Amino acid sequence: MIKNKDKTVLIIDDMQVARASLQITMSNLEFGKIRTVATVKEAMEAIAKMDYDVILCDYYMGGSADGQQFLEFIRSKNVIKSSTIFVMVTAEQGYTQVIVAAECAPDDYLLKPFTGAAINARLERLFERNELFADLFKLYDKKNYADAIEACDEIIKGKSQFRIDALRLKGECLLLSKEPLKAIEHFQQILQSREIPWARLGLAKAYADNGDMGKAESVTRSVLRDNPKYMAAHDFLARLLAKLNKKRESLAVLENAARLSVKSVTRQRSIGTLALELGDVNKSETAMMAVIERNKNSPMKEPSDYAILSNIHLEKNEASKALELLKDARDSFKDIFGLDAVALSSAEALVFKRTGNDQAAMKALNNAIEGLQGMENLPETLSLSLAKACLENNKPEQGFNLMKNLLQTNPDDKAKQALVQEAMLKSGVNQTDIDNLIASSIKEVMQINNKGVLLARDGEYEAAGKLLKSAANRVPTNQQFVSNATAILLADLEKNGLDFSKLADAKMYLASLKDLNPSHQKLPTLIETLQRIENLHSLTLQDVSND
Amino acid sequence: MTNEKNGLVSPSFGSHLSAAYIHDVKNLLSLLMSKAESNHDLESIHHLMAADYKLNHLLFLYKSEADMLTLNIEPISPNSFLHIVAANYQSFTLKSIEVELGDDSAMAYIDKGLVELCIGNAIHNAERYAQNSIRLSAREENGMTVLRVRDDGPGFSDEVLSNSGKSILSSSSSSGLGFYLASKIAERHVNKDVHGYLKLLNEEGAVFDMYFP
Repeated sequence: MIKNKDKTVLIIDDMQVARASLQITMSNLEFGKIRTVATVKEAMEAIAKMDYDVILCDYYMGGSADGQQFLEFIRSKNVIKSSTIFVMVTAEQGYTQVIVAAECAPDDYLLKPFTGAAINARLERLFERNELFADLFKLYDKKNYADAIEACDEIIKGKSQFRIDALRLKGECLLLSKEPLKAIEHFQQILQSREIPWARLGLAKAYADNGDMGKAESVTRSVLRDNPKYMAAHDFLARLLAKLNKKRESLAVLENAARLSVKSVTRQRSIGTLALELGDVNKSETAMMAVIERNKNSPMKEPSDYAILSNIHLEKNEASKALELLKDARDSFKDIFGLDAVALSSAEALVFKRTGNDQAAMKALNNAIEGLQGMENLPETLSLSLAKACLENNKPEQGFNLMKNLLQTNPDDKAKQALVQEAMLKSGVNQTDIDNLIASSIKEVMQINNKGVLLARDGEYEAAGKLLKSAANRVPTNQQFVSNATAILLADLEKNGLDFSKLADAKMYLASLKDLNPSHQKLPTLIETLQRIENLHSLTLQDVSND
Repeated sequence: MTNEKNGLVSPSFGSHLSAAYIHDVKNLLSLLMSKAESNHDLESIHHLMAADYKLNHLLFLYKSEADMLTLNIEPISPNSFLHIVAANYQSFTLKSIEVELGDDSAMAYIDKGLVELCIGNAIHNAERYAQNSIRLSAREENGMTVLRVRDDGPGFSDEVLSNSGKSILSSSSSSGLGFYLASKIAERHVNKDVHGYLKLLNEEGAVFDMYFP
């Protein structure tokens, strides 16, 4: 227990008696500094002030939040380091079902009642792991995945009892560093000796990153057949289907998962957003209200949730409800930045307008537009709400432009056209203007692409590159723009020799194309061309140094 | 207090009153446990652990009858698993609990929560009969992981040996019920159609072997 002296512990439990008894247990184990808190809010403040070695958290935190949600929140926001040991404490045997199903598991858990020795033995083991993983965790937190993978390999070779943890972390690093082929090999190797759900799901993710969506889907479905309660697999399947633009199927998967498991806020949020995109206002309302209710009085609440629900209220012609909600949001959030700020201001612009406060509406809209500077990839629901705010607040040009960008993300998407059409009608635009916008937006995509290709064919790479780059920057989710921008930049590099800024641009567009659609048919050729250019480049460097 | 705590396990079970009661009782046991530990009251800790086993048995029986028991198999290191289980029991028994360490990189695929319950129960039982020590060990046998609890007492009675946890009906004693549950839990561990099982034998004392595929 000598080791415990220089370790710090944070205890989170809403019940005073339980908190006190945990504190006694931990001080009997001679931990150096022990801090106890009762709420998520206090816990967040404590974590912000200093790094704790150990966090002991009761699964029940009082109110509507739970320990699992808190864990997912602090891990996803990188509030704690990988080396911070998080142990969940619960009186509920069923908790084991929660962690195994979750994407984000605590380092260990303890079922009440337990002895001090039980917790000490677990922590001792985790401290031992942390010593072995010290460098690895640092590399991982710095997102230096290449070196982290090497560090994993060292541990895997060393035959330690933590081998399995290193294998799992290596798989995660391979996925994060976008090395799908190596990841496929890694997971297949693990699966050879034994069926492990996380390895099977990892394999599915690697297939998806490699562009093999069919295999990714069938592997994920097989994981779910064997482990129907594996929530991470449900959520991944839903994301996969949404990416394939099968939104209705994706929503069905999420709803099924929500029925099977405890309520996950993230999942409810996805249900709310997808349902809204599919025009199912009532379903979306139920989900978003659940999200907001659950995060009420918790630092885990998000401003954009309020913005979305406000738009739903407006859809249902309940402007006063929306007004109240946004007032509530302004009262409860102190500092709002980035997309959250744009979302909230844009929701306000619509609500103020509809409740007759034109001046406040215009002010909110200007805030939203100002906040937009330098933002890329607006979420679809936000684009739509901002566009409507512009249309209704007498900024038709901006409104039309936003709608155009939305239409151009995928010119073949009829559902999106219907969504835009309905929104514009409600915002008072006449049918002819809407029809014209839809037709011209679709036509423009074709025109820009054709013009770019023709310019490049005539050797006008500079002009072609400029045209496609600006199109790809304006609509970063249009695959045709992005793939043509990449192709033209690469052709330019091949024809006219090396230019570092063009090479960097080409790589960036290629990466985002991979991200948009890993199975895009032009990807293999583009990757091959890039490699050819890079090889040629390193060859010339070698020639120079040899001289 | 219980009302706001629903929705944890499966909806049908979580809403069930008995789950909420068990939860509250466990919280109370937990309080008593920290009091007993502060007073170094080993006897009370002993009784508390025994009460907890009974509760867990009840929970397990309930779930398995209602067909709501799903196992969460995960890869674990048998060495560290046994080490943790032993450290826990050592803290409140005067008999010595030793772990014979096996291959450090070995891996077992078990539901560690449920298996800890079985091994703990076996230790609890062995403790009553052991003269001085209880030994825990892990080994591999024909591709299966075997977790063993062995004591230096007089060994199991013929009745226990012949039943070996197979039937709950003849298990009127509490240790018999524990063996029945261990046998059920072992059986629920399956890999490629191979099931786990429980084996009880006498070998200079009682030997409790749980086999996992």
